Amino acid sequence: MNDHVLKEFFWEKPAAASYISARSGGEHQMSDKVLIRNVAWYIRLRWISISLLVLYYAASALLSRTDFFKGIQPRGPWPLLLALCLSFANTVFFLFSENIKLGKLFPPVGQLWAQIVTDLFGIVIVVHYCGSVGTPSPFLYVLHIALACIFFSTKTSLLVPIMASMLYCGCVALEFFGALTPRSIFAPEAFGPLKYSVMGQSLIWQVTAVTVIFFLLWYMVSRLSKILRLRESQLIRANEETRRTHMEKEKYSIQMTHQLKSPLDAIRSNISLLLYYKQHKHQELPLEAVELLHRIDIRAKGMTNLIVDVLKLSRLNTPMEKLTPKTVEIDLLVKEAIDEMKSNADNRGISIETDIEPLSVVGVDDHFKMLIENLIANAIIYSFDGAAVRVSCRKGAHESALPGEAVFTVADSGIGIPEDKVPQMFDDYFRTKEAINHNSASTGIGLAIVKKVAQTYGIRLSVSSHLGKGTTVSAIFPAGAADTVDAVRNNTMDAE
Amino acid sequence: MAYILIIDDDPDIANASANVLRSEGHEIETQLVPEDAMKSIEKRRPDLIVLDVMFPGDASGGFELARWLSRKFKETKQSPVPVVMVSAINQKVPFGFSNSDIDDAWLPVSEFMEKPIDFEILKSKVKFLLANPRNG
Amino acid sequence: METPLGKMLDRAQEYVDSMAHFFADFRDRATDDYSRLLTYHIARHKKSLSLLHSLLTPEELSRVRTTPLKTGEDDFLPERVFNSYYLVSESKPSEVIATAIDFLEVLVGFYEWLDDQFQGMPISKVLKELIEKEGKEIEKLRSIETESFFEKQDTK
Repeated sequence: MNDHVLKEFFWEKPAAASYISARSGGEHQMSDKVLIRNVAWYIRLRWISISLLVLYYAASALLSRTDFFKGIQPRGPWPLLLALCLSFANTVFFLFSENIKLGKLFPPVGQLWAQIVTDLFGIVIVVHYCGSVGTPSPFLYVLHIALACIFFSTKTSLLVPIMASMLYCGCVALEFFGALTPRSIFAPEAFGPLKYSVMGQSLIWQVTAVTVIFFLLWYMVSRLSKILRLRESQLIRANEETRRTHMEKEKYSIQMTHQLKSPLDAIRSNISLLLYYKQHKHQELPLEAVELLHRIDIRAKGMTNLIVDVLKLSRLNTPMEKLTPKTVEIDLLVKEAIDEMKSNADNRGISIETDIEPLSVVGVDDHFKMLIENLIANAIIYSFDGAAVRVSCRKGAHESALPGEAVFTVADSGIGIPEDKVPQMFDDYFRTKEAINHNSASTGIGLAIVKKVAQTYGIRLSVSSHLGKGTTVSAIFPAGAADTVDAVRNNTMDAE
Repeated sequence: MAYILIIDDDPDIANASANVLRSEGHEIETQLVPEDAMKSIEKRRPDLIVLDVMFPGDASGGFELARWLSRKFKETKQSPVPVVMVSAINQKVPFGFSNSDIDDAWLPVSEFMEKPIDFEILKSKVKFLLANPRNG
Repeated sequence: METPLGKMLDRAQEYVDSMAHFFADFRDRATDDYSRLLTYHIARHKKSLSLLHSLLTPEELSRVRTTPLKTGEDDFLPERVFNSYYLVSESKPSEVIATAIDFLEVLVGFYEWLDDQFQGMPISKVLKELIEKEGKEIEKLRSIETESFFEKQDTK
C-alpha cells in the first residue's frame, strides 16, 4: 500500500462585504468599490460603441451603393469624427481610473458622471445625424437612464432623464428653427423629406412622447432599484446584527476561557505540592498514586494548553481593520521560534536544521508567528527522539510555488499521518490515533490556528506525509504578499 | 527560621506555597486580601513577603501594596522587606512584566516570578533573599 | 552654535520621564483598577533609552552625544505635549491606551526626525531600534485594546 500522500490545502476567504455603503438623502447608494468597477465597465462599453461607429462608417463608405444599404442614408464622416472624440475622452477616463494619484483627485462618482455627461452629448450627435424624429435613435438615452437609476439614488438619478430630455428637445428645437439641418438615416425615397412645418403638432406630440417615456422609465427603474437596495440594506443590517451577536458570544466565551485559567493553576499547584511532598519529605505514596498524580498533571497541563490555544484562535478573529498590517520579516520570526523551542528539542536529542533567507511579507506579525510556531512545534512534538527537523524559508522553494512566492517549510521524520486522515488534519480538535498515543497533551487546535492564518492571508498549505516516516508542511505565501500595506489591508478587509 | 507573609487571593495557591515554605522551617501567615495584609504588616513586620499582583476588584492590588510597603519603610526609616512578586498577569494580559521592570518608584520588589510557581525556584529565591535582604 | 545630539537624547529621556510622571499622577487618581494597571505597564517606557547603553560603548555614546545636528534644533518639547493632555479620574482603559499611543507616536516621530539626519552612522542603528521598539509597543497596546482584556468580570 502506498501510504505516502501529498495534498494541497487552500481556503477561500469568506464572502466579500456588501455593495452598499454611503447613505445619500436617506437612501443607500453604491460603495466606491462598486462604482470603480462600473467606471471600468462603462469604459469598455464605450470602446464597443466606438467600434460600432467606425464599423458603420466603414460599411457606409464601402457598401453605400449596394442593396445592403438600401433604405439607409449614410451621410458624411460624422461617425468617424464622433468615434475619434469619444476615443480621446475614453482614453482620458481610462487614465483617471487606472492611476491612483489621478483617481484621488477625481473620485469614482465624479468619473462616472463625467462619462455619463460625455455619453449624453455623444448620443445627441447620433440622434441628430440619425434623425431626431421618425427614427428610434432618441431611445439610445434609455440605457443611461436605466443605469443611473441603478448606480445612484432616486433623486440623483433624476438628473439623467432631465439632461437627456433637455438635450433631445434642444436638438429638435434647433432643427425646427433651422439652426441645424434636420437629417434622417432612412433614405428619402423610403420616408419622404422631412418637413417640420408640415409635421407641426405631431412633432410636439412625438417629442412629448419621447420625453414622457424617459421619465416613465426613470420612475419605474428607480422604484425597482430602490426596492432592491432596501432589501439589500435590510439583509446587511440582519447580517450585522448576526455578526454582532456572534462577536458578543465570542467575547463572553473568551472571558469564560480566561476564568478557567485560575482554577487550573490552583489544581496544578496542588498536584505540584503532592509531588513535592513525595520527593522532599519522602512521604509514602503508593506508586499507583504517584502515577495517577502524573497523569492528572498531564491532563491539567493539556487543559492549560487548550485554553492558551483557544485564546490564540480567538485573537485571529479580531477584525483586520482594528489591526495594523506591516512588513514582517518572516525569517526573523522563524529564527525566534526555533530559539524558543530549541531547549525542548535538545531535551529529546532532536536537531533542527535550517535553510533560511531573508523574506518579507505584509500582515500582522502575531498571526505569522502563530503559524510558524505551531508548524515547528508540531514537527518537534511528533518527531521521534534523536531525529532531525528541517526548517526552510526561501522564495519559490516548492514545486507548486511561483518564483516570487515566499515558502516556509517544516519537515520531520516522525509519526506521519494516515492517508485517509490528511484531509481532516486542519479541522478543529482533530487528532489522529497516532498523535494521541505519541502526545496525550496535544489539543488538536494548533493546526486549526494554522488554517485560520492561511485562510486570512490566502496562504496555500502543501502537505506531504508518510505514515511512520514523517510529514512535510509547506506554507506558500501568495505572490504580491510583499505588496503595500494598503493593498493587504483592503484585501483582508474584503473578507470581513 | 523566618516569618513569611503570603498574600494571594487564591487560597489553594497560597496554601501550596505556604506548605512548601513551612516545610523549610519558616513561620507562615497567609492573607487573601491586600487590606487585611496591610493590617497584618502593621501589627507584625514580616521577614519576607510573597505577593500576587491581581486581586478581585483591584487588578493592580499587588503593585499598589508593594509601593505602600516601600513608602512605609522609607518613612519609618526601616530597612525594606524583601518582596517576591508571583503572578499570572502576563498570561492574562500580554504585558511581559519581568525582573527587568523592578523599579523603586513603580515596582519596588526584589523578584518577579511567573505562575505556575516552581516550588524549587521559590525556595531558592526565598533562601537567597533572607540571607541577602538588600539584594534582588 | 550647533546643537549637539546629546541635548536631543536628553530631551527624549525627559520625555519618557514626563510620560511616567503623567501616568503616575493619573494612577494616583484613577478609579478604574484596569486603568491603574495599565499605568504600571506604560510607565516602563522610562527605561526604553537604556538601549543606548546596551548598543553603544561608553566611548561611542560619548562621541555620539557631541555630534552636532545637521538641521536646527527641533521644537520637540515634552512639556508642550503633556500639558495638552489630561486624563480624568474615571478614564477607562481604552482612553488610557489611546493617550499612551498618542505619546508614543510623538516620540517615534521625534526619533525618525533624528534618524533622517544620521543615516549610516552608529547612532542610526540605535534610533532604528528605538523606533522599532516603540512601534511594537504601540502595536501591543492596540492589540490589548482590541482583545478586550479589560471587560469587567465578577471574579478574577
